[in-house]
Amino acid sequence: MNDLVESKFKMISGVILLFALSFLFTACGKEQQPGGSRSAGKFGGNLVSTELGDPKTFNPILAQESSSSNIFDDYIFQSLIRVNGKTTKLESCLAKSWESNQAGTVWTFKLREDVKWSDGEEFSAEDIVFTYNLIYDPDIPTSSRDVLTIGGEKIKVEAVDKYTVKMTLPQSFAPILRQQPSILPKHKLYQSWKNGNFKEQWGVNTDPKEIVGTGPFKIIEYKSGERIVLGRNLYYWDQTAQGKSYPYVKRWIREIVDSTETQLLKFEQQKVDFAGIANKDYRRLKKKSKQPNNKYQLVNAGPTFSSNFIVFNMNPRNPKLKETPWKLDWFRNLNFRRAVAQAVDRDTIIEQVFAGLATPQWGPVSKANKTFFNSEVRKYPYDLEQARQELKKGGFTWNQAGKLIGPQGHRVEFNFVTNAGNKEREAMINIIANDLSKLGMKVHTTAMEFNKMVQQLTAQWNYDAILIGFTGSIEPNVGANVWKSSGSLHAWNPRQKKPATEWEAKIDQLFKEGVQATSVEERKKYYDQWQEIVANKVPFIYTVVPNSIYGIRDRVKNTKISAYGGVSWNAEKLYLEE
Amino acid sequence: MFSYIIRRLLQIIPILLAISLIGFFVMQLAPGDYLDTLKMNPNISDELVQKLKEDYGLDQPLWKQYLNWLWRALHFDFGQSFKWNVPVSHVIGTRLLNTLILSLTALIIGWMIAIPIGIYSATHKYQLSDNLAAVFAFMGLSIPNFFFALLLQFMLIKSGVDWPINGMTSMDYKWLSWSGKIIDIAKHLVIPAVVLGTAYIAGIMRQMRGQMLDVLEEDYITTARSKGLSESKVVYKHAFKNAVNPLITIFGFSISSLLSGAAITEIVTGWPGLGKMMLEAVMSRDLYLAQAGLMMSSFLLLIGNLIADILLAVVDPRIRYD
Repeated sequence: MNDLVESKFKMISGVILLFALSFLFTACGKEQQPGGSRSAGKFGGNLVSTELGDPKTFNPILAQESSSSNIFDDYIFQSLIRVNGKTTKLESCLAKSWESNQAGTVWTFKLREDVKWSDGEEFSAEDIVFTYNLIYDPDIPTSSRDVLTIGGEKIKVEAVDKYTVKMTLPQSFAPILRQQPSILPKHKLYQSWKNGNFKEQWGVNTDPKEIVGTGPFKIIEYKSGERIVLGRNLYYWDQTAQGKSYPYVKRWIREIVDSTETQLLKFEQQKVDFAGIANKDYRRLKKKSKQPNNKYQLVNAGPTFSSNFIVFNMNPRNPKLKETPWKLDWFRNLNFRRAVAQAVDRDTIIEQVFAGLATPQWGPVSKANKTFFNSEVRKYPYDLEQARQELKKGGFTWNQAGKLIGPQGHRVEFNFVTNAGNKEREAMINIIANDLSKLGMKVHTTAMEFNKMVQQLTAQWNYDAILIGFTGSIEPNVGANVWKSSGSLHAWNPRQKKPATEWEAKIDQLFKEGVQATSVEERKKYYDQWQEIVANKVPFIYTVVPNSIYGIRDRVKNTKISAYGGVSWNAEKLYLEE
Repeated sequence: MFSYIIRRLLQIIPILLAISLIGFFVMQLAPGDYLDTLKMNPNISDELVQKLKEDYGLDQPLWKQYLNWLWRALHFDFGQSFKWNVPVSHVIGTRLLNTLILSLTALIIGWMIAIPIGIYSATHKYQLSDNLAAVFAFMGLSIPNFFFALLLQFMLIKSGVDWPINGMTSMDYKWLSWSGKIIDIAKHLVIPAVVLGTAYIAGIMRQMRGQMLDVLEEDYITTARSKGLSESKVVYKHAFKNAVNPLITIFGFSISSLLSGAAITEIVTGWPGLGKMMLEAVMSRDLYLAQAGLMMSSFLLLIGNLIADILLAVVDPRIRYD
């Protein structure tokens, strides 16, 4: 099921490109710009959407997967700062302003004074301190603790007065603004935390009335496997120009569906207002959308943050090396990896697997990341002749039968796996393997069960080559566990005591400097270098980034769709007009 | 009879123990554990994975994990679901009733239709109606449930009828009246119940027909007829009663599939039942949830068999257990 969940996740979070810039503009043309124009939207109505899976908890601190956090992040619970889903820039949320000292080690947040919890209780700096206390409680398993621990030390969070919070960092740490946690109500949860049973709080068995946040919505009803109904938070602080609180819609009904197929069906029947559309369905739906009785549009929101890459095992601790020690030399051979990179036919993959709706990727940052993307990295366009040249440079030869022979005289032959159930990746490894065989390699492709593949990648280290992907985010430091040589997801050679190569040492260094630099411009310099090194040394051979496509019914107004935020990031400002 | 039932109930205990033991260890044979998905998330550190491992008790030796589970299960505590972070009993509880509604409806539809048709086919051997029933039965047997469900959904959409094709309740369910709620669920029930029900029909009908044909050849049927009994008396009183025994055994088995037999239909029609949840539990190695599901199905199988045996004794005076 993991692979399913993953492929589903890809679909949602998913999928799209710039080719339809013009199309985007037509979609935008109909929008009202709430900031500019004062004309207000209509209140009332039910907004309907789908979720591919039940939430597993309503507790944002304990949530470990997107099926849970998709339900409540920004809609029910909010952070001090939020990310604009369209521009990906930071915006004020629970904090109206913030500033730091010169060194970037002391941050002061001024809170909004008009915020109330959805049960009417007052919100104050105490809630922020409480939330950080929860996160740093070693008994509570939360991934927030990892991202908010800097060099092994906590952030000191103090309430200066009722509406001022001071955070003292052990050292300058730029990602702090983008990694602010969802704030929880002290008045609701303090007692259970003191009693040591915070971990049982706000599970899916909780009465929705008990779940209190500061966001525009609150939970009205949850029926397992069927739907979650969100309603208006009457105390929500953000208001229209007329002084009425958002959201516009009376209810937001989120139907839980089992598969992308059902989701598509419901959208085609116009039973839901918007949905992520798989690339393969784009053309058919686009055609259909032009029929007069189909009142919807498709929006191609451009490349997503997800990636698909090939990784070769460069780990000297691979137990299989006893039998085939020469494999390590192939995979460590830079020319070999570059040859493979050059043999990946990205155009064919885009055409055949993603119905033309994907973008070639050359480095570790997706084009979707407007802040940190470096377009000037080394590229490896499909060229088998050049790939052969690379192999020759690397000491590889061919026998009379045209089979590729490694520098030590062994036939080049390896296993190439991906996770079963992810149809796109299954198709991709076959296209890639086909081209590799044209170079004279013998490649055994297998789709392997997800858990087994993870074991091979993270614990057994006995694979040859894997096609996999991680979901990225705007902040590059989120990938520290992948890129630092000591990281457990440093897939090609994890958990190194000392960096094996100079360039890995350099990446370690860049990540260290990247989090300490305070200005975005300065940080970008470090992360640009990192992207160049990765593209140059190709430890991950990037393939393509799918585009995210959304279908949206015409009755939904004020949409600001993007690959980062999808359709629903500004749900409170969407309104319905028949 | 009473002591027989007690004996059978006592036998269930060691069988369940053995099943739980085998189930628990077989699940360990699959590579990886629940935490694998978390390990692939760059946001989740080693320390957190380790902490969760300890919290879930996955770091302890297997035999200890099993004994801990068993000890708690004896106190009717089936542990926490890893994924849902709430007790397994709650996770199952939210879905159990839904699955029962679906399975029981299908069971009733299936048997109510299959038995009369089976008898009719037997008494009208090789006539057109019998052949039609046979065609129908073979179609029912050979169309996979998932395909039949999709077909029905497709036909409903194409025909333009405003009929729910997915899920169990409408969006406005919460705001419906009492009777409105029942009608709403009944409407949603049509597709999955028909799909599951027809799957029962084919098998049961052919069984019924075969058994009836055997019995109708018997000498005592000829005797009954020559006595001048009416044909309906011969068929229903003499033949049917003798032919029904194997079907009762089948009925017992179908009780065991009440909870698990509907999985695929549930998934295709979006019925919020146990099936999909259990599949997910097994795939994501949500150990205690999967184990609880296994135990429940096993228990029902054993009870179903017991019920079938008791029914046999009730129906057939030749069968005595004491």
